[in-house]
Amino acid sequence: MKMTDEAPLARSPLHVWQEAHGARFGERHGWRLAESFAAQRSDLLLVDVTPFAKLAFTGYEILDLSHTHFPDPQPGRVVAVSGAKPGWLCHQSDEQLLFLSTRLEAEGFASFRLPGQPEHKRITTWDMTSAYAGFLLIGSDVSDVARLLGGHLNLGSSPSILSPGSCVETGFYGVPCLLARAPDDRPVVGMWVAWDVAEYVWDRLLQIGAAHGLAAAGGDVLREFGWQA
Amino acid sequence: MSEGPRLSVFTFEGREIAALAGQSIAAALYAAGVRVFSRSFKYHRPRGLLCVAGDCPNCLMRVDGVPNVRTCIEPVRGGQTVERQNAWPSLDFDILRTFDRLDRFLPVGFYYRQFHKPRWLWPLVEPLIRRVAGLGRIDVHATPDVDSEVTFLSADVCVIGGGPAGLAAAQTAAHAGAQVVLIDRQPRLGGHLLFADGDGAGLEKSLAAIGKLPGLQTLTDAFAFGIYEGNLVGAFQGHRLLKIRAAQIVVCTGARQRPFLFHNNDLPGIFLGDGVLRLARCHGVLAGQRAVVATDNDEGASLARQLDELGIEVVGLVDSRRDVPADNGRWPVFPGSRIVAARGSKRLRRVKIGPVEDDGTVLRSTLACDLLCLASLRVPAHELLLQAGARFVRADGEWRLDKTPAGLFAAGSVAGTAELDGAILEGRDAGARATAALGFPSAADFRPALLDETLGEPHAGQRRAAAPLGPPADKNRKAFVCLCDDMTDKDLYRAVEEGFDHIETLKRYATVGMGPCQGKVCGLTSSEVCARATGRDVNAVGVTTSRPPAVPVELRVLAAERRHQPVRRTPLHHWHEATGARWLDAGAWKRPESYGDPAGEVRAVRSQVGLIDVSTLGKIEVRGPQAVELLERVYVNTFADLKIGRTRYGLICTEEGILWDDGAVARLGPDRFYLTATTGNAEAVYRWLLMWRDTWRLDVAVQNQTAALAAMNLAGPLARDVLAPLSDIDIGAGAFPYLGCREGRVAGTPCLLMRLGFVGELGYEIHCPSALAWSLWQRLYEAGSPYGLRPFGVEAQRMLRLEKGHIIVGQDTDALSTPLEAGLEGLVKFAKPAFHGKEPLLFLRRRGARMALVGFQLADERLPLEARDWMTGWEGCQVVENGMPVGRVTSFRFSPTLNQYIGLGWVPVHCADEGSRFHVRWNNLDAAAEVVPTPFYDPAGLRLRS
Repeated sequence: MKMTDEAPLARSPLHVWQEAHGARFGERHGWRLAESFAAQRSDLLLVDVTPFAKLAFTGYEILDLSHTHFPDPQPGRVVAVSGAKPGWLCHQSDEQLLFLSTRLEAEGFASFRLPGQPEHKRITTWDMTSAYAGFLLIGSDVSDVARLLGGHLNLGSSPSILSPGSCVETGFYGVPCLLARAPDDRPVVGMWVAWDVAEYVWDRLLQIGAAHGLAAAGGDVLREFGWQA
Repeated sequence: MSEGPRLSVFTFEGREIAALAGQSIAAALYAAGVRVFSRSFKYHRPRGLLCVAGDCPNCLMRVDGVPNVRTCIEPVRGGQTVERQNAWPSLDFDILRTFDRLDRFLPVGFYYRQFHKPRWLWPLVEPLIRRVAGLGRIDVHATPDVDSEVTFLSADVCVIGGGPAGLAAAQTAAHAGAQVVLIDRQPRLGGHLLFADGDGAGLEKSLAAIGKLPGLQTLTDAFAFGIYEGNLVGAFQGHRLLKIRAAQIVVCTGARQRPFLFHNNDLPGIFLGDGVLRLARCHGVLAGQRAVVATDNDEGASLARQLDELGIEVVGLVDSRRDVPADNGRWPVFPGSRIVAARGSKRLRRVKIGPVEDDGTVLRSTLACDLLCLASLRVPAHELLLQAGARFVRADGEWRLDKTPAGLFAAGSVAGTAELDGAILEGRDAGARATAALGFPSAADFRPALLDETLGEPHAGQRRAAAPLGPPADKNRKAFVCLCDDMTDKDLYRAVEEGFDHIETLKRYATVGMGPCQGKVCGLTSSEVCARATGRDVNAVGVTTSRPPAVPVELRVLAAERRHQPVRRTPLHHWHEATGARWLDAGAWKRPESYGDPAGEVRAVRSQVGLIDVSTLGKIEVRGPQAVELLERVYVNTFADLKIGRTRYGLICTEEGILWDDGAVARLGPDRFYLTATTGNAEAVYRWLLMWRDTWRLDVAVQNQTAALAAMNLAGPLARDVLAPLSDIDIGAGAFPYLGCREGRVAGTPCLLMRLGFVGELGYEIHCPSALAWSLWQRLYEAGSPYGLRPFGVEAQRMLRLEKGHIIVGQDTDALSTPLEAGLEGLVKFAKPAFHGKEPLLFLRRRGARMALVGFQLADERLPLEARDWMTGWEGCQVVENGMPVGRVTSFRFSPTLNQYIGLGWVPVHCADEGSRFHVRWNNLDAAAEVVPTPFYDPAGLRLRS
């Protein structure tokens, strides 16, 4: 094993896969990131966004916070959060909101509060950055992504799941996952799964995506889709 | 169908059978002269084709080793091996047909009454009955081919049934802009139009138009077997399971004919009218040469005409209605008549005709024939609708849809509309209403393509007069209601007389409707017989509850969703891989069992230092003002007095007092705790805490951090030397004593450290974010190398903890183990007001334990004094006393530290004292064992407290 005296660098669970597939790495904000791949770019991309922060908000007063951010406070909605810490806010359930940062940052989430979040102990904030691995599926049109995922998701809700500003917890090849799409027209759908099944899910996505021309891409493609690595 | 190239042959009972392209196995066999396809369940009566639609049990055969295949709908594929079932030595001559003559001794429910006296008789007779009864047999030695997959589909509208009503509904809904899934059980869409008279051009043209619609997905050869809560349709296509979630469902499953009741109504040569047409028009095979048509509605005349056009001689039309012309100039007509008996040995030879109201004594005619076509009034194919909560009633002699639940529509003959145009328009309306309910633009005026085409019309209207059941059964009649289980109407009358006069108890006692057809052939008839036998209105009798599956489904299809086997990897997985780890599957987790030398790894931990990846442990954070209250109630220990910065070993019991899980509980703040749980129970413990938090309405937050955090255990006498330079925490013995916990940084990584002693040495369990685990592990490994640090795996860990006598919940305990018997009574704080399992444990304490978990050594000279691979085989072996099994071994290894065999096992309490002796039975060896105190190693705990 290589010995090192360097400061600890965080790495994605897909790091070894990325290395094996010719990723060019960079170090940003304490992470070793796959910035690009040598392979030819495709119209349907799979990008690892695991390093982007994720925060969960739980507590008895989550519903009050939901009313602040969601016009229709039913679980299954996603709103965009702007400002110093931009991201997607997902209404996962009556008991949990999940904030998915769309800007890679090293620090600054320890005291992060959502706009309108009261100074109150009945809402607990959990750093879930290392709990979930995140992937973005990016197509030239969202229907490309829908065709890729169609038939493979154990959806318990209507087909409008991939409509803008929606999220759902579902199953993918035996693994619970969260799907989310920002409230805009960009053809981007995110999937978040537990850290320990990241490689399994990544492999499955590439397997089913082979027929659709799905290709892995690095962080350098994210800016045009509203994510900043 | 047209002549096509002949496929390669299949074999049937040693014969080679050639088939035309597109034929079913049954059609090819029929064309080859086979008339007896099966033998019945109880009487072993010969049975031939009846429905040719996969509804009845008559054509079940074994195909390529798979039993109970419905050969009338199973397509021919070259090279198949088709075999008979339930007949010996052959289908044409079955020696067990003898039972048919002994029917007076085998009435309904005979196995509840016969052969039970004297008492010794039934144990002899029952196996014989089980052996001779039944249909196909499963090859228990065959390894199933588990290649099934699952597909999840979502739709605005799901249409079940691709006949005229279903096509209209699907086309209308798609036209309105909805996403539509249309499923049909046949290889092609069209429903009964596929065997209607005409050239089929109109249907093809319509299908071409419908196929171009965006948003319409069609699935043929797809069988819907259930409608579940939330408009979930379960279906399968081949071996693929389909789970279709639809906002609205339209059921257009059609209607089916059913057998009339008359003596010998099960003879080969007796077909449902639709069956004859399917066999002719879909498979190119004529069912006979001389036909009698029996009917109770206008379809009979239409059928007779079509048979004549196909080249089958019609020798009589028997119509139960009196107001039909007696002479149509083409064939004899018998108005006001019914079939009273069919005659023939193994196939139909003639039928006897009598007046409708007579009990069969008066005969009007006897007609020689080889084909009897039953064009009975259709009944809805309503199984799926019933499952979904729809209700049917019988009025004016026919079964009609009464009501459907919200989100569900029905159209076509299943809803009572048999006329073609009417069915199409009803389908259109159903599709329009379904989409309107979802907010799509109105399609009420849409004109389905089928309306513009000339289509065949086998359903020439249904001027109705349903044939009455006939007089109550006389003793000589074998008029079968249930073909699957050989139940006659005489049997049902007898069952009612015995007191089973409710349709549900009648079903269970007589088993009518419980066979392969699941009531498709017999369900409504049995309700009508029950009504007649009890003198009640049939609507008061009702129908039996319909449950999925509506069609037979292979278990491997249902298991498709379970085939996915996720693989869980720790953040250090690839490090282990690169280091040559040998893998162990712990549930879905991959864990290193060893790095090639478990004994060497044990020695390294005992003498220097080792490092193990324990990231699979459950990790749960509990925060809030009532965090202590939650833990006090869930654990048997007390945590109210646990100081901040301290850790305690905790036990969780079920409400029955059974030991369920264990782990460390660290107090990080006044209202903040960090718990570990066993790998296999992590998710369950998390949900357990959530459930009880909500039940007791406690103000506490619980978060599962199992995936978020990695964990590693640095253990050995040199562990402090390795860790100290890397950490900003003072880990001196005084500053960080045994069972302490600290938060800080190790090699720049934010960590939680707990001084625990699972392996019995100075040890630090280090928890850090998964994203930083690789970096931290590398630094620890680098720092530990000068001290001889070795990674160690699960096998070494098991040996090490066994040497300390530490239990593994789930291995050393089972579903009957309590802490009191496992030697952990000291952890149970009975003084607490309440905790899970308190009352049962109090009872056990008062009663006294009967078993005990003890440590033992083996001292048998026959055993080699070194570790062998078969050592693990001793786990689970019996503990024997005086040759009788009295307990079991749960853990067993050869200890490289102690140079002897040690283990843990359950023994009766009278064998549990130190020095007690017993034997462990392994194969033919009863090895001598002696109870010794635990821990086996470092009993004073000096090393882990250092």
